[in-house]
Amino acid sequence: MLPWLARRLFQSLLLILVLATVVFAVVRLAPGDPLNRMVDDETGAADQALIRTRLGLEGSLVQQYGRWLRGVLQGDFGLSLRQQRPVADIVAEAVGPTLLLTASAYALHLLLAVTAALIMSTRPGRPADHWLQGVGLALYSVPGFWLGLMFIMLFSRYLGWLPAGGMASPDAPFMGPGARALDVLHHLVLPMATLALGAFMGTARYLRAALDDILAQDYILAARARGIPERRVLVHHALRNALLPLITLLGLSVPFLLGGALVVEVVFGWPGMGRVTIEAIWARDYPVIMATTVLTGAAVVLGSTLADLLYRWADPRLRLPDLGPAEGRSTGGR
Amino acid sequence: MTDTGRLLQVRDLRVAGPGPGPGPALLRGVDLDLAPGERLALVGPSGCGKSLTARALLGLLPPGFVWSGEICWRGSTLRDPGSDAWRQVRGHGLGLILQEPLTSLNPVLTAGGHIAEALRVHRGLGRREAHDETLGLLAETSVPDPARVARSFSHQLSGGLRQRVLLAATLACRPTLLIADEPTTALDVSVQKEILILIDRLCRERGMALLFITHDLSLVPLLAERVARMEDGRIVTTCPASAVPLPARPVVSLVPDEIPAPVLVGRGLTVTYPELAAPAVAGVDLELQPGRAIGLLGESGCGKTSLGRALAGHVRRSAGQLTLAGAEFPAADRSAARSQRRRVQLLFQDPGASLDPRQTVGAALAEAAGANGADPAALLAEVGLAAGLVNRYPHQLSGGQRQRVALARCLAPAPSVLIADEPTSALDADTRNQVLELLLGVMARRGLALLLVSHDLEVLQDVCDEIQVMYGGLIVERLPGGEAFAPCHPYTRQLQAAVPSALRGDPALWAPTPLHPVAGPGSMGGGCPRFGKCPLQKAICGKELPPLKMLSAGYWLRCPEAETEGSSHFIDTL
Amino acid sequence: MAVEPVGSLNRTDGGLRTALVLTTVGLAAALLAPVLAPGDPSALGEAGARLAAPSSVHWLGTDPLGRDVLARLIHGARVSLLVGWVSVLAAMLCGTVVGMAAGLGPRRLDRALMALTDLFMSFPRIFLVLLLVSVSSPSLLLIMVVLGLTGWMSVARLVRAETLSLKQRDYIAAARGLGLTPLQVAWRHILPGLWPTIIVAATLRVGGAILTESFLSYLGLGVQEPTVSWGGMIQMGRGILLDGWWVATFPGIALAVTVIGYNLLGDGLRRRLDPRRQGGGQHD
Repeated sequence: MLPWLARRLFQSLLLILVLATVVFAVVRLAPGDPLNRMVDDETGAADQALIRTRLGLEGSLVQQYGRWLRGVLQGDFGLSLRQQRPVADIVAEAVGPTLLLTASAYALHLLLAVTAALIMSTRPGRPADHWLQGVGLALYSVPGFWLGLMFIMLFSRYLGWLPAGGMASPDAPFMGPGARALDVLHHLVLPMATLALGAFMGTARYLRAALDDILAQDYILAARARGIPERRVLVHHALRNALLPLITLLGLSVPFLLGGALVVEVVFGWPGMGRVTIEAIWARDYPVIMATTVLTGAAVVLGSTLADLLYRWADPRLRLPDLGPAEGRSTGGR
Repeated sequence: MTDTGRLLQVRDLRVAGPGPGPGPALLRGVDLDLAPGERLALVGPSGCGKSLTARALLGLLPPGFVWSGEICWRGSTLRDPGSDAWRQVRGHGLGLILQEPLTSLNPVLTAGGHIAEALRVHRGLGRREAHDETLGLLAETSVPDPARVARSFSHQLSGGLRQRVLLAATLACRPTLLIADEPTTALDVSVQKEILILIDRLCRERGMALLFITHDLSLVPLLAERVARMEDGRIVTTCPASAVPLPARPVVSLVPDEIPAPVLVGRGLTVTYPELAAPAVAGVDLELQPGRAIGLLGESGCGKTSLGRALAGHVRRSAGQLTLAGAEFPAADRSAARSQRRRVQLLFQDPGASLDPRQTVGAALAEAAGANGADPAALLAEVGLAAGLVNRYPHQLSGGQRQRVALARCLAPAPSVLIADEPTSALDADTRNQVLELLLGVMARRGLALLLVSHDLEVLQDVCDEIQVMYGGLIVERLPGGEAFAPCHPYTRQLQAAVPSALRGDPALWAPTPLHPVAGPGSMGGGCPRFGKCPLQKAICGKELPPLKMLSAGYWLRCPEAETEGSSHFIDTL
Repeated sequence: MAVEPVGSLNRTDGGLRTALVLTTVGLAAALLAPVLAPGDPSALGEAGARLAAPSSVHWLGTDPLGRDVLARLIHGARVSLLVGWVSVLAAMLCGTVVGMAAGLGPRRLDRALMALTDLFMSFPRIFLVLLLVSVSSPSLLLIMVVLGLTGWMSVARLVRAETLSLKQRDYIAAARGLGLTPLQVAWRHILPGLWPTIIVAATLRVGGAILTESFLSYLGLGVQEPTVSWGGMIQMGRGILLDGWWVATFPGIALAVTVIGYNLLGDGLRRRLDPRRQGGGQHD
């Protein structure tokens, strides 16, 4: 286990380094000087030189790369061109809101997905199954940014129940800590619901397929034939096995979630990484774009590493070595 | 009214599969009666509805299946599969064991967990009592070291142990009728024997009735008193088990002849896989001669399939030499190797998997013939099929027809060697004999060198000129087939004694045998691979691998003990 | 007598039928846009016709520049479907070649290609798309290239897994035994076996590509005016959700219906072509 863990962690670190290199290469090797994409003819020569310094465009490409990568490893992504302050500060402010949004949306989506999968899998072909599939398909196919706009239109502009965007009310600085937390939650409802509703059906369908496979297994038939009550068969035999595909899904969800969060953050003006990224792209603020892309990539790599780790812990076939050579193993072939 | 003296009474049981509108009729009026303690075998070809009958009795049909008819358990009619009454019958009344013990155990639950769960649900035992009772049940099903097995997960157990654990979990509910659905089909013969003996003993001791579902007629008299034959969703005949005829055997004339010069010669063939510690094939010498059938006998995992594929040039050997008609095979030159490979053809176990599902019979044969222009119609005629089949796809053919097409494809490149890997294991008994007779006929007519790889001792004995017995990647005995088949190696003799017809012929063999101790790490250390499981073993066997020695013309043996003790000694010990 | 209820199995065909209707309507709108659309999608209305609510003249209303929403909706189908199909075809071609090469080639090639795939899968797709878009100037061609470049990885994994499983089949060993070259085996026996997987995967990915394109256009990073795109239309209606609800609502519905059509089509084809279930998502 330990050598495996060490190897896995090393691989992940290597992958993050390569990933940072790719980001650097895309920005620097794209046709045209990055400087030309930023400046127009009216920018004075002195300003151009300043931007060149800020972008780290001095020296050879290899030197630039070395300088940038060293900075990245120390958590220094340079200066933002637009905001004139360290990228690391901008990103640090954005991580919290994104974590809050994705974690709460993930919890809600998981709850919805497991419930829907259980209902569909235990009532195949019944009305509940069909309805869930229909509604789920619709939510799954709707553009996330448009769903967010529709929510704003209905719940915020028309009904006036919930705020349309941002993370805090203008008078938040004058509130007590409890009221301020409530205020944030109030702002969180719509973005969280948009993200969770758009994502849960994909997970539910995946889980349903896994559950259907499990429920068709011989060991479920055997357990039922031993007169084990149906509820116990579902929980102790089926769901415990469905945990394994669920863990795999956990690793796969990180990219979907971060991608979805970007969409939602833009629509709701949620001050997270996604919004920072989009604003940086509009302003061609390359140091920020590079930082957020590398960091989300790193988050995905860490997520899949964590899922691998959990999987090995949860599956007895991977956790334990064989006790000895098994004589007359059944072949299943005949 | 129903007869309360009956344990189980089934009248006009019908089951339809799912489908738009009324589904296909799968059971078409099954009637069954079982008295307490009675032992009935349900036989029939695959797909006749045997297993579906069992699932209908348990009220556990797959979703979408529709049933009708009357099922009476101890005089009361069962109506709703979801009801508590029927659930009580499952477990308490009916117990079920399935064909594939690996998939019948939950992979994330320990073996003991399965048994304890049943005890706590059905008999309301506490944690402590359930644990003790679990160990007792494992001991009753002849599990060595119950405490260790109870802690194990199914992937850590052998096939035989898994089936015992499943039996113990079933017995935990104290059923009065045990339904055994092909309980030994996935197991090797020696393990099959032990499981059959165990089921027989448990039924006797507990007075359990038995519904024994099998496709293998030769097993019926071992466990059942009465046999019901199913065909196409109906029970067609019922008769006493003693009236069941022995399955027919293939008729092949073995002509002892001068042994011709070999066409394919392997020396010291070794095959290793990176994921396995021990080599799958460990230095085997083998020669195949034109017009002769060599049998390669072995249980699952012995390396026989790897050896067969290595001989056909499909698996890369890690050591040893292989020559085809005197030339290195496969040749270093790729295109030369390809034309060599056409001369050594492989016939596979499952014809459904060995034919491309998207190719018609004609296209497959034309592709196989390649430049040599063999006529598809003539090839089909040679394997006893009508030329009209050329436009069919594999899924439109029966199992026997598919295997004949696969054979025709092997013949298309006009090979000189044919390696048949369990060619009849996936077929029903009648078809099996026809295909074997065809195979041997083709071999004689074309002067093919034939290697027949099989786990079935009787098949090889009937049709092969010579039999080589494989265990642990090694040939342990090499002897003539047919009438002259008289093995001395303790392993071969054990296989011979586990064959169903041998069990039936000799009541003395039908006694419980002591379990072979589980192989410990000592047997991995370069000694005889049977060390730890052999009745004749001496300490030296664990340290030195004995050589394969020629004792007389056509007879080789790798066991100094069997050689010196003489064959009379160990007949008694087995 | 106990009879279990039979599930209404006709629904499976219903799904496929709905899918065919929806996708055909979308395709027809895109192909016949100049004929079907009521007037020029870019014609500016007079002052009175700006931001007009749905009426008998403008069935779906007009936008703040007085342009007919229905006409723009029908023309917008062209961009969505073109981007969806071209980018998916590019991704499929690329993914199939990489997946087959990894599945059939030597172990070292497999490792290298899968490492590359893992690397690109480590970015959430939208971040990769935005990174590529940010270093170039927006255009229709660019969007298609970028979506193709960022969509092949999951296809490569799927094709590789299926290739590995097909490679184990006995009929592949038999074909090798008949002296076929590796390329012949791949072309005659492996590729035909992959078709169901490829067709289903492609159909299920069209929806995802359409959604990504619409988001880019919504951000102003995709297709530029005067080309009409649904994402751009939603962007225009973003600030007038109460006064001009129809401007953003209808293009969203058009997007959802189109994507539902392709998802249903993919599911239906999967039931028809591929007895085994594949994994869940198409938003990659």
